[in-house]
Amino acid sequence: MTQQLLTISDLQVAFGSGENAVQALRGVDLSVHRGECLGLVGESGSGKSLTALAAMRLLPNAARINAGSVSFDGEELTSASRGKLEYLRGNDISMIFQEPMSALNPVMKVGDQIAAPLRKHMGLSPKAARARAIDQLASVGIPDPQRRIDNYPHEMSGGMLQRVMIAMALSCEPKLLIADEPTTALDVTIQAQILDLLRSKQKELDLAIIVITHDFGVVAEIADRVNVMYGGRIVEEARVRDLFDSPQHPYSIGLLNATPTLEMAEQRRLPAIGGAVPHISEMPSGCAFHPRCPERRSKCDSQVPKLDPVSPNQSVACWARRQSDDQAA
Amino acid sequence: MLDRIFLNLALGFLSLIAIVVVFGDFIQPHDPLAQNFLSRDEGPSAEYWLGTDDFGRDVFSRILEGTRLSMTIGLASPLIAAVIGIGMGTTAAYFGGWAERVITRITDMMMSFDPLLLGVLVVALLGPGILNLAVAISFALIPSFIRLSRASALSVRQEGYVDAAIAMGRPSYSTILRHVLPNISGPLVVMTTLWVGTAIRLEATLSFIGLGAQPPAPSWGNIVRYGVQNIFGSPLPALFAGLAITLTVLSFNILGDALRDRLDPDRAAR
Repeated sequence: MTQQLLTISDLQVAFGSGENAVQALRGVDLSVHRGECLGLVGESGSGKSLTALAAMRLLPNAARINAGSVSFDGEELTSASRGKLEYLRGNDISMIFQEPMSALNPVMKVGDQIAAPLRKHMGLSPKAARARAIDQLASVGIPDPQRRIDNYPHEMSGGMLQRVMIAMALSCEPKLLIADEPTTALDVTIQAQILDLLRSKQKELDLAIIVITHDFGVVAEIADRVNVMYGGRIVEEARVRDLFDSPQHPYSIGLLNATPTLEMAEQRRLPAIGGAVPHISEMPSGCAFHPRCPERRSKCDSQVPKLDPVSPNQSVACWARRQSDDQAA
Repeated sequence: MLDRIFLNLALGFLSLIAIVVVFGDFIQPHDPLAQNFLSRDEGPSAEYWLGTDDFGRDVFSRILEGTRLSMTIGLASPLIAAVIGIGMGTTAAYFGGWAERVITRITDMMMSFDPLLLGVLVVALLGPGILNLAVAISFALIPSFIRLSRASALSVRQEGYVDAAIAMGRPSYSTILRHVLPNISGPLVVMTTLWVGTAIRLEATLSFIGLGAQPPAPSWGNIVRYGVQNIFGSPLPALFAGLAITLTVLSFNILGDALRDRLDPDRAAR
């Protein structure tokens, strides 16, 4: 539990170069331990997906890593060769995507798509890979896997396709699974089933999972720890219980207040965070959240706060939470 | 309905062509190269179905023999062009960056030449002959394959399953072959078919101006060429070789259109 599997430090990613460069990740620090589930939460445009793509070195062509390091199991990924990455991807790190319908090739049988990484990484024969693919399908709860393996993606429902994606991603028993909004495109009952499946796979394989989501329900369901992202940085890092019980960063507080609960009086309007996420080309200086922040201090617009522990299991990057304001920076 | 009839006629004609290409030796009533000075410039007869040319050679046999050469080049050039063009186009789309810039520049450069002019240039450089003709025609067809495959591959590159394949550790070449190519094959198959007609036409044109198959070997293009020179002696060689070219090109175009209707989901929905 204590051993770190993935450590990202001061990761900076920009789109374009030179004067037109747009800073999308502005120094992300996060770490994932073996067998732990980390939730990465934030609004659209906060950089959560980009962080995951950068960790897998799957960034689009226009984006590049300018600084920082991504270390996976002692291996530096930002400078890893193409061959090394091809070896790691699917074998040690896997990823599942938001849209299961588009993440599977429409003209390829699902069995062949699951078998591909098995053949590459485990060197299985076509026959052995097929047998294992059937086992994989069965293990993610797909009924009648012998028949389903010869289905094309259009013959399956969204929930089943996400199960197929999970089967494919976990076929080589990776150490880390990055799940980018794995349930967003699914309806609520299927969501719960997929989260259950991920939970049980995590226990079974001692798998570390990064779940990227904007849904605190998903986080509460599955994550052990949460990182809250805003404006290309991590603004709060805490155990799930601690975050829900006592959110520290004004942004986390705002997000949680904006989550509807059953106890809520029917007529009450949900409190929203004022303003909108600024475009990445117009990120404010200092703490990116300061223009929307109800607890703004004078130094917030000029100096970037660092993640500082407020308790053993919780850190926050906010000037308003510093015990001694003047002493810092 | 009319489409259907034309398609069947075209398929029937192309089947005949296929038979002629494969079994030509058994079908040709005479040796296409044998000259007979006792029967020059004859009209159609039971002996010579389409008459003879001014060397006394059987026109029907020569057109059948010419089919082989014209079809070989007509099929080989678009296929060569497809392999090279699609390879370059998908590479450009998949990798982007400098590879894409270099390949698009090359394409633009090649596009700026008229296919016929390009053919003349290549043949002038390498000398006339069947192989050089095939090279010239492929060269002329490559840029459009690059363009189409790059454009199609660019949209497929954005699909989740390409990212998913990379995320599972699939190497680039394998991702292109297994994930990108199958999903862009429809328009490429259509274009290859349509370009067969164009390649046959180009072959005929280049042979007509003397840059293709060298006499006495017959190809449709050079049968027309020497037929025109002797058009007052016997108009039949030029007429029937021209007809063979026209019908074949037409058949391939009809086939290509039909394929497009089948493979393009938007059109199939009509």
